[in-house]
Amino acid sequence: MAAAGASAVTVRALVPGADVALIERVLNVHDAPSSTTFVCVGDEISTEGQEGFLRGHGTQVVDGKLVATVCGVVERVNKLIYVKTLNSRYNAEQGDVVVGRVADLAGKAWRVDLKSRQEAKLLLSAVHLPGGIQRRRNAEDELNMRSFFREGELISAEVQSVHADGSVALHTRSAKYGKLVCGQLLEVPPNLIKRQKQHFHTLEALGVELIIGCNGLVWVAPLRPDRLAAANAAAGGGAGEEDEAAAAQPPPPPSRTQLEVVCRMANAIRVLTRLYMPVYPASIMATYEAAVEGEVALADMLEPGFLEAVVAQEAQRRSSAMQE
Amino acid sequence: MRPIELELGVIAQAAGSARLHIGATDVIVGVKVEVASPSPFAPTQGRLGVTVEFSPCASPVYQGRFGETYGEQIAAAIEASLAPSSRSAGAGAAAGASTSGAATTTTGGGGGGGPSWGLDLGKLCISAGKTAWALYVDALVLNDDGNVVGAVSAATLAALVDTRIPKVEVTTDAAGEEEIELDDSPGAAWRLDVSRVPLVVTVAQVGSQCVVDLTAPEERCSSSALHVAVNRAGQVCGATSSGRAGVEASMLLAMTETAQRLAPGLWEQLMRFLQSPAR
Repeated sequence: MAAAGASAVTVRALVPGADVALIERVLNVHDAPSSTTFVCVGDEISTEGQEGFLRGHGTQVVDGKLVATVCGVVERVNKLIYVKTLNSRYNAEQGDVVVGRVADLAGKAWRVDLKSRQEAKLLLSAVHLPGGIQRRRNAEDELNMRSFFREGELISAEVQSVHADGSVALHTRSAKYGKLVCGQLLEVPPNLIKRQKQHFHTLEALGVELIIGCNGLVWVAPLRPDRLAAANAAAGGGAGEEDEAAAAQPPPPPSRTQLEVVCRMANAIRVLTRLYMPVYPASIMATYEAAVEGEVALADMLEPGFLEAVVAQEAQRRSSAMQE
Repeated sequence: MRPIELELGVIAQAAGSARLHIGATDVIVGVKVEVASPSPFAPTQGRLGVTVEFSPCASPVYQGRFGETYGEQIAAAIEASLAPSSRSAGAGAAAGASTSGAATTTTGGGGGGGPSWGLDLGKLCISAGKTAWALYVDALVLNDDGNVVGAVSAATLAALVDTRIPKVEVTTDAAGEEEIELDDSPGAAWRLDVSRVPLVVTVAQVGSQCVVDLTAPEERCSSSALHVAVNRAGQVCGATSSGRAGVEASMLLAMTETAQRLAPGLWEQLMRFLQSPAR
């Protein structure tokens, strides 16, 4: 990833499972947890003491015994027994903010890839028209769909509804949703993203815009004046005249320092993904600040040295939280 | 460049093997040696065969047969960097454009005696014209996060360092037939001389910049790439180009110079690790 004029390359021994060993060592967690909680494929799930039970996802009855078909944690809810996996595809719920890529145009809708089991649909009638006019979409709008979003473009949207068969309908009925350009997209396991009140974060002090999609796609970009206006408009309710004017001008190209900040934020999120820690603004900012204070070079943020520092910080946070 | 993580001797049944990670790119190279008859065109030399395979789990792109053509191109580049005399050693550049859009040019003529770069296949001969060692290098790409060619090249070098070839004794029995005795004990094996083996460095063009060691998303943004084989002395031993657009003439020189600057340092670092007792 270095430009011409590269520095020395490091070559070191491959240690499989180094990340897990690091986490276990620093958090003082030892492996082989109680076998009643974690199961592997083919492990038997004890059903003693339960007369009738409903078998849920991840289980199967083999030779009269209940056996797990995936690796994960056994959850029991009333009479339902199921296995919850660590990594699963995103399951949409109404009101989720998601980041997706337009895969195709079909009829009066866009098909959007959310890295879920199915592609989601964004209907033409669910898109925010420029100028905020509310009118019926006619045939001309249908032919001009590509002027809104083309195939391959990244958009942010909200889940409008999830139908019984699992198909998802999206909408972008607000100025803060729409096309995303000039930034970095990161893929994070969706289990690490908690549903929160706010998924759009404009960090004005750093000049960074952060969108944490519930489907595991996280967007980091330099803050542009029109996006700031859109965020303010969405917060304040109703767009003002000067905001419209700001949106009309093309944004200036980002400076090198701004790009470095964006890169550092993206690396902070990558660090959290590697350590399988929840990704939300507080944890991202904590990792970012740890990198800045430790004066860690951008490329060194994914090295074991910094990973260890982050895990140590988390261990400290947990112990102080437990003491309270 | 991203840090390289290396492990030797991962395949117990192979003569030599190495597993290499560059970031998330993961390749395994195994070297197998076999007693075979030499090629009639080179009776005093051993054989060399390189294959590169893409596992379907490397990337959804490689499902089915798509990975085959790419694998063949990489194998051809690696084979050309290891054994110059196996190709027609023309002094000039012989450019042949294949249908898949890759052109191979071999620069730097092989001199008279031993080859000026690569492996000395003459050492693999057991009995001139009758038996020789055949070296098969098989690379398997387990995960593709960019810079696969560089990873395979570095892993091949590591696997060749790890390769142990048994000592052979040729005896003539009473009937005048030649018999070959293999000394199986691990201590009596010899290793290949890899001091002249070049490393392939991939330099790509993104916009108007030359970039090395691209990740998979970055590779999709690049328009063209040049894979340059450079030995430890910084001499260019071969070049292959790939990509949708061609390489501009002005960029060609800059790319080659970048590769020449990077390769010797990489070579030294790899050899230092491979020869240290820590591996």
